[in-house]
Amino acid sequence: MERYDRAIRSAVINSVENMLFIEVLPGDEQRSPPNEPDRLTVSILIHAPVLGELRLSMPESLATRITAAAYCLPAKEVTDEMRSDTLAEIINIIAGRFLNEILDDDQSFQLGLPQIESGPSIDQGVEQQKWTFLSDADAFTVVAIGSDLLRR
Amino acid sequence: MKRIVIADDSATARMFIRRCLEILGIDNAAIIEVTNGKEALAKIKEAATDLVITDLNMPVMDGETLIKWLKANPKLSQIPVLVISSAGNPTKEAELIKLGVTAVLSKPVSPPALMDKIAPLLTPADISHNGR
Repeated sequence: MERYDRAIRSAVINSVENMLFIEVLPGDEQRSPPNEPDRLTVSILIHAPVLGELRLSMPESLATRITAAAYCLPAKEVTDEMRSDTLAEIINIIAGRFLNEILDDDQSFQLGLPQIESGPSIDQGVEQQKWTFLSDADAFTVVAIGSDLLRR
Repeated sequence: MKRIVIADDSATARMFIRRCLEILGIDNAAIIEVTNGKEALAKIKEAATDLVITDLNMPVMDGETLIKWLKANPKLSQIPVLVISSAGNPTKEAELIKLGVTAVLSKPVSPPALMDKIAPLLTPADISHNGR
């Protein structure tokens, strides 16, 4: 599980920092943010060689800040579509990096298309693990879902 | 380089690729953006294309299918194809190179990494003096 932990942290921190030049730090898991209504969540399914799902969830304010950084625009010019697309691209890159970290070099993988989620970020009752990260004062979470994925 | 087709369902990813090309000084080419392989194939057939940059994971027609269509068409098979994807690893890269892809890059793309892969395809006329 330690390798798994390292893989997700490295995937998240490197993806956001390399893509957006925004510093990200591991957060305190005991103080993870609640499922507030203004949080945006995007998910991506992993189809092969394991079945699972990754979800990225963050406050709208952070999503706007990240999107503004990506597009080099003032925050007030960021549209909902830009924000959704940027989050989708981030989870796509995180998933690719994460799978490259946990799979052997000779194993290729297959991802689904990122989806914006309208429901709560955490499904209760399914096997999952959550990681919290910090960007300035904002916390965001990444959740891995699925026993196939979590038991590797 | 006169015409470049970028296929990616993410507008953010296309914007990053376009920005990298601009930073490299490749800002005098016509850049056509599309959201899937099927649209890319249609645009590539419309006019002579010098470079195709494609993602793998796209709706309607994925990047790998696009590459197979291009390589199966004698009129299009010589167009260089650069894959920029999050779904790449050494095994996948080897498979894609075998299909005829020129190079494979992992997302997020950076200007130096992109230049490294496309430099052999460029002539001095392709790079403007405004390259940053």
